[in-house]
Amino acid sequence: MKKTLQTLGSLKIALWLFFALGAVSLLGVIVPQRPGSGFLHDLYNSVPFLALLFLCALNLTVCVITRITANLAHVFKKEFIREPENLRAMKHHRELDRDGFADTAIIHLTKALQQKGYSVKENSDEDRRILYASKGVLSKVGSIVLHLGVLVLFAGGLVSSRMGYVDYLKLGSGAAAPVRERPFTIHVDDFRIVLNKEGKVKSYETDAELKGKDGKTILKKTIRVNDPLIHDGIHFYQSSYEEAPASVHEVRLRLTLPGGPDTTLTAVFGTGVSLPRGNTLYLHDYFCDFSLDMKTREPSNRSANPDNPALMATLMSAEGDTIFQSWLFFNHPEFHGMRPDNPVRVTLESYRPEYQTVLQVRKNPGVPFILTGILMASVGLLLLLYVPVRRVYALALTAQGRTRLLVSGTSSRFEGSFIREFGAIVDGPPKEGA
Amino acid sequence: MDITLFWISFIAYFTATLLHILFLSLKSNRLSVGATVFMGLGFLMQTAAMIARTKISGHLPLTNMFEYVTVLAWFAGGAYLVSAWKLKLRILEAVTGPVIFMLYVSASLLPKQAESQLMPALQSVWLQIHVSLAAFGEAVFLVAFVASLLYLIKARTAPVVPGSFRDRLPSADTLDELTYRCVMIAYPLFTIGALFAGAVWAYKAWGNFWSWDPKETCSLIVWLVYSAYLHARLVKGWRGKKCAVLNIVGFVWTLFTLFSNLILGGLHAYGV
Repeated sequence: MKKTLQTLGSLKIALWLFFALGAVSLLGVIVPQRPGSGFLHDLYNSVPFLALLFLCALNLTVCVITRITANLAHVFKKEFIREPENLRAMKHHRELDRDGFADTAIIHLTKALQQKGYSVKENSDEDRRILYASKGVLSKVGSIVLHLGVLVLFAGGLVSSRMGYVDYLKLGSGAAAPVRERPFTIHVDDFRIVLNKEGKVKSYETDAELKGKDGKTILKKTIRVNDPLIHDGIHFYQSSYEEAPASVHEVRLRLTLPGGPDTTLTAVFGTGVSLPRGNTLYLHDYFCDFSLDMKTREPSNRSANPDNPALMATLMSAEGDTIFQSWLFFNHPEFHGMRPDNPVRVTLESYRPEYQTVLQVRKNPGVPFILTGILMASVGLLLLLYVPVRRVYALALTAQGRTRLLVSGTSSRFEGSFIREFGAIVDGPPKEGA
Repeated sequence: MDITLFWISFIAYFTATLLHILFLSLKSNRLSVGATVFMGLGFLMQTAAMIARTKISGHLPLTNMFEYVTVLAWFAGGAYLVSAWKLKLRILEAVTGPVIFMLYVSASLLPKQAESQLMPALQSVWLQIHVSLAAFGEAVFLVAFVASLLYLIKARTAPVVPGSFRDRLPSADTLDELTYRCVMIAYPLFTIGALFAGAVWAYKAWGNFWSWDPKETCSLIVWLVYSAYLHARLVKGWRGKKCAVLNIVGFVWTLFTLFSNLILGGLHAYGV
């Protein structure tokens, strides 16, 4: 069992897993990815890839468990070195003679160490005083915090993928939609594209309201990119926008009157336009991608893309009689239902589309874990790599009224600055009695 | 104004590169000092260019490929100057300087238009955090890369010819240690900047911490390579050639990742 654990948590396995994860990820970069398109084209959702991630998490978990004791022991270890030879064997060591007894030398050294932020512990034997000082030992837990943080991050991702969902709602101004798994609906009061002075897009804004079952407003907010609406664990993001499939803002028409020059006019969709002889032209029923069911003769949108925009125009007389009713096709102006003897011929020249917002609705229960994991991993990483563990050992031996002080030290990182610090600690001005 | 300053710094870096090459051939310390002076001038001019561009556009110059590559070169220039001051390894400077200039050359080929109106997706404080930390980390990886290249040259088993380029290099141990220190500084910056800050920004903007976008995935591969380097070194005690090769692979992949959005598209393609 112990051997299995050691193998599962071994660095060799970890390095191979790094390599495998990198290689498979690279494959996903080279081969175009389209969710639901089979193994190679949906690699990151495939079972083998998820199994690889599981192995990485398992290796990490075992590594943390097996190494946590050793790491924590490092934090709490106190090492009193009693033999001068052991101190002399260290890379940074000094020997000094001080007048007076060991107590005084140790007191001065302790003060100097404490001023530099060291935690100092003392011990003594019959003929010697022994000192151990350390700082930065917390960085030893940096490794644990870092690796635990990555595990928490993994866990958060798993929670979100299993218990979360993503929906897309396409809503025009005034439209509403229910929110999955929640007792409220989202209402869009307005959607706008805000332009700057040069006509470039500054922001996409959706004025949204959440309303309860009783119709009362729970929350109101303008949703923008980087500024989602968040309520009860559901996030609403400004995802994109598109042309409304069944409405336009206004249209530009060319009117051909018999015997007269063509004229153009702009009209708001859904209204009537007054024409000569008391006739009125009504513009209604817009389809962005017009298609006719040949059996039922019912029009509909083939898609949400503006591939075949068509608008219904109805010309009515002053008496309320319908003179003609015709689809006006933007891409096919020659295709219409007007007769040569109609009092006017109408052509759709252009239109200003009405836009609807596309909101991404996301339930992401793993977010607190992921953010916590990121924070833990960041703190752990900074502790591990930027905070050096420094230890200073000292031995004070007294003989014939004089004290021989041996001081040694180690630093896990930034040795240059440690050498300067060590020198300042040891060579600090002798205090009274020294 | 900012483009003019860019070209002035370009000339300074070019002059430094020429002086570095002459130093390598003629072995005169004066040439090396001159090269460092011109690198410093180039860095100052580049700083001025970035300040000017910030004033013109109304935001930090971090929003397209030209700006990112120049910021990366700026951080690398800063790393060069710090290492010149602290380490005084003229040979290292003589190789790092031209590599930085190559970054500048690639920036010079990119569209330089300053865009005052940021796209909605880029209007976030996370842009500054994510991009600047990533650039800082990659710049220090660049110095580590040069040290690893020089290590492989120095550590060859063939006899050293006195006075040759190889003879003038610092000891292999020094280069190995320098590589390690650079990676130790760069790795947290890259991890926190490129990966973590990028993920948090993606969550704020698009609702998803990670979407396997090509540039995201390439950055993950960079991170995996350097993670392997640190684990192998800190835990397994790897030293020398294996570490140097791993480090070189990591930086080469970093360079590919830098330009990957030009080839692979994806969410980061707006930065072109």
